[in-house]
Amino acid sequence: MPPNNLNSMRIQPRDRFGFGSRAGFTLMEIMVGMGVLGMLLFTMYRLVGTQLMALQNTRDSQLESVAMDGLVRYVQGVLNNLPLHQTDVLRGFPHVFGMAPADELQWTARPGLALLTSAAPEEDYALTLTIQPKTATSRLQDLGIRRRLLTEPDSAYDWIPILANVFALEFRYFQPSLGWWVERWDDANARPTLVRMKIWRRASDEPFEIVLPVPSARVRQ
Amino acid sequence: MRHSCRRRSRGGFILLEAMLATAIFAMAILALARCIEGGLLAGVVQREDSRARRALLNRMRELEFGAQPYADITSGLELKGEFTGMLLKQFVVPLELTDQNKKIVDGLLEVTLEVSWPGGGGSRASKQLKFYAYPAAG
Repeated sequence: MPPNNLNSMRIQPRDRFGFGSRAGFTLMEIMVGMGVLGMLLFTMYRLVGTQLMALQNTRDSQLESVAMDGLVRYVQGVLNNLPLHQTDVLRGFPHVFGMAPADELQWTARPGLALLTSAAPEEDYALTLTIQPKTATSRLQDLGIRRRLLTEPDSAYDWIPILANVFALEFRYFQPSLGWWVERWDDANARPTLVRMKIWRRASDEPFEIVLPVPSARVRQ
Repeated sequence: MRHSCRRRSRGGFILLEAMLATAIFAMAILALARCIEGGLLAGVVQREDSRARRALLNRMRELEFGAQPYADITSGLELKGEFTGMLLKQFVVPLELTDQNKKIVDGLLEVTLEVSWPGGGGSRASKQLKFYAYPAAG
């Protein structure tokens, strides 16, 4: 076999499978392609990441809003249902815990909405809305209700957490005869016409603020 | 002619094609970014709206229960605390109404509360609450 024919036989398979010198990519082309692909993937990653973060923020915000609305409705329900002809049904005391307000709002109630259960013996109960640490050593606080029988000592209460991770809680009471807001309410024979509640979720945030009327205060005046 | 066909058969893209593809891709990315921005903005608008509602509700209760006077605040009152950045205006108009015997009913007020705050695009967003009050009832 002549030498020329041997050479053509060696070259033939390369051409048949497309590995000829014209069909491949240069290193530069591959690098540019990978660079573009990398940018695309990075952009998509950022987009998806932002979208997930936005969804998470929206969900957190909605949950917080629903929790606050529930708490406000509950406290308003308590104030609406204070017994009309009973004395000493509402008290408020200012406290400070770790340089932040940790006030207490106290009321007496019978089983029903204000007690958060109707399945309890028909007696008078003392309830206190306040904040307290999650555990004895925890720095995180929950907002909730201390519930006990009126005849039992102060320390013998059940704790019902309502709102998790609350930094501070403040109550102010509108005293109509003074025309001003006071930080303490211990007048057994009168009721404030308005109660202002402020809740700080974090130390750096502005508080959630709501003014709640006490309808029975007007009737008794 | 033959030369041109051979260049085309290499399978590469010409500059115009690459630019067109990049432009279409950029438009798609921009549209997606606008969607996400819109979603984020909707959350902010909802929060601001809820804050404004609460500011108006608090003010209405304070007026009804005597914690604030029924007086015009036309220049605007800067709110504090949670409502920082909001401006409250209050308009009180005595109503001149008569009953079925054409007797004048005194003391009825129409109160308009308006809260405004900086919105998007440099404009101010606002929310209004209008209600009737009868301070003489206590």
